[in-house]
Amino acid sequence: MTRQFLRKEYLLAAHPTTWFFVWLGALVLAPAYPYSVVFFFAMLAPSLDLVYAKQTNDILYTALLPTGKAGVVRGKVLYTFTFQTVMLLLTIPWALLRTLYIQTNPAGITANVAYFGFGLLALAVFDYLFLTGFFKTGIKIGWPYFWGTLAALILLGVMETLPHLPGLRWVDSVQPTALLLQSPFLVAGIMAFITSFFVTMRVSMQNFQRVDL
Amino acid sequence: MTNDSLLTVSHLTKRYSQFTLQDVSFTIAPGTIMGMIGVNGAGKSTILKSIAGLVQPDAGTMQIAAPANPAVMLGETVYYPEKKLATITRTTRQFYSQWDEEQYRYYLHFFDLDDQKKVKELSTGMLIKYQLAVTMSHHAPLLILDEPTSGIDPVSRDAIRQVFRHYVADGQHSILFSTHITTDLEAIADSITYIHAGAVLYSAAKPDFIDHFRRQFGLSANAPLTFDDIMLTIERKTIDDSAIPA
Repeated sequence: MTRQFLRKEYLLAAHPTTWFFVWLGALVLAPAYPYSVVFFFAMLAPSLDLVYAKQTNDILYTALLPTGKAGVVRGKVLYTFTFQTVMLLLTIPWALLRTLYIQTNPAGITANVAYFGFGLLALAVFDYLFLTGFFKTGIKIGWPYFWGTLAALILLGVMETLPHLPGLRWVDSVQPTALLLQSPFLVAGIMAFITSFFVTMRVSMQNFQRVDL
Repeated sequence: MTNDSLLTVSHLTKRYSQFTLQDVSFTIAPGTIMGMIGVNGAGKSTILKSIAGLVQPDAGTMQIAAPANPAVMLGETVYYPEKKLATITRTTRQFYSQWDEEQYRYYLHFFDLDDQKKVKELSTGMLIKYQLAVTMSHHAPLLILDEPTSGIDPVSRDAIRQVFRHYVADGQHSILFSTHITTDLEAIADSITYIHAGAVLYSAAKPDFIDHFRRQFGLSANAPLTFDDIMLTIERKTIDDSAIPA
C-alpha cells in the first residue's frame, strides 16, 4: 500500500513546487550562503503541500478511499519524509563537488557531516511538531508550522554556534579527521529522523481519528 | 447488519455546539434506493459523513456491507481541478481490488465524458457524472451519495436515474442518496427517510411514507399529496411583514 500512497501523493496531490524545491540542496554550491536555509526549504515544501491539499480537497478525497482517515495521514507523512530524504540525498553530490574547489563558508557552517546530522535532527523535530499539530485539526497549518520551524531554528542555531565555541572548530571542517569526529552527529540525526517517522505517523493517526471532516 | 440489509444505522448521535443529530436509526435493504430528504442544515450530510467515517459519532452504531469497499460521493465537491480525469482515475483505481475498468469505460461513454479533460474544464453536471462513474466502478454493495443530482440538467438527471436503477437491479446493491429535488424521490426512491432538525421524522417505503403523511395531515386516502407538499407543510415559515424592521 505504500507504493499506492506514494503514487497518489506525487502524481496527484503534490504541490507543483515540489519538483523545484527538491533540487534546492544545490544551494550548497554557493560560495558564501547560510546553508541552514536548505533545511527550511525542506520544511516549507510539506507546508505548501498541505495548503495545496486544502485547495484541491485532497484530504477529503483520500479520506473517502478504502483506507479512510488513516490513509490521509499515511500519505502526508510518507510524502514529507520521502521528499526530505530525496532532497538531502540530492544535496550530497553538490556538497562533495563543493569541497573540490572551496572548503570554507564565510556565511555559516559548511556542508559537512555535522551539517547533515543536525539537519536531519531539525527535520525530525519539525516533522513531528508540524504534522502531529496539523492533524489535530486537519485544517490549521499556521501554528504547527510556527512551532516546528521555531524548534528547528533553535537546533540549527546550535549547529551554527558550535564551531565558534572553544575547541569545537572541527565541527565546521571538511578535513577527513574532522568528518570522522562529526559522524556521531550524523548517526544521531539519522536515528532521530527514522524514529520521528514512526512516532509522527502513530501520533498523527491518533489525532486525526478524532477530527470531523 | 443482517442478510436483510446492506446498512443498519442504530441510534446515531452527534453533538455540535449549535446542532445535535439525535438518535438516528434506519436500514437499507438490498436492491433498493433510499432517498434522504430534509431542508438545509437538517443533518443529512452529517449522517452520510458519519456512515462514510468522516465524522466521529458520539453514540450509536453503523453496520455497513463490505466496509473495505466504500463508495461515497459528495456532490459539488471539486477534487484536483488542475488534473486530468484519467490521472485521478489511475490513482483512485489502485486502491480498489474490485476495480472494473470495463464498467468504468462504459459509464464514461454513457455519460459522454472525455477523461483527457481537466477537472476545471468540466461543468458541475459533468463533474458529478465523472464522480458517479468512478464510484460505481468497483462493485461496492452500497453507494452513499450526497446531492448526486444537484445542479444537473433534466436530461442528465434522467441518465443518472437510469444508471441508479440499473445498479440496484440485481438485488445485491443499494443506494442511499440525499437530495432536495423531490422529483428524484418520486422517480427512483423505493424508500424515504425524512430528516428534520437532526432527527428522523419518518422512514418508510415510498407508498407507506405518503400514506403516513396523508393521515398526519388529515387527508383522505386518495387525496393528492406530493413530496413538495409534505416538505412545505412541515417546514414552511410564513413571513410576518409587521415584524420586519423598516
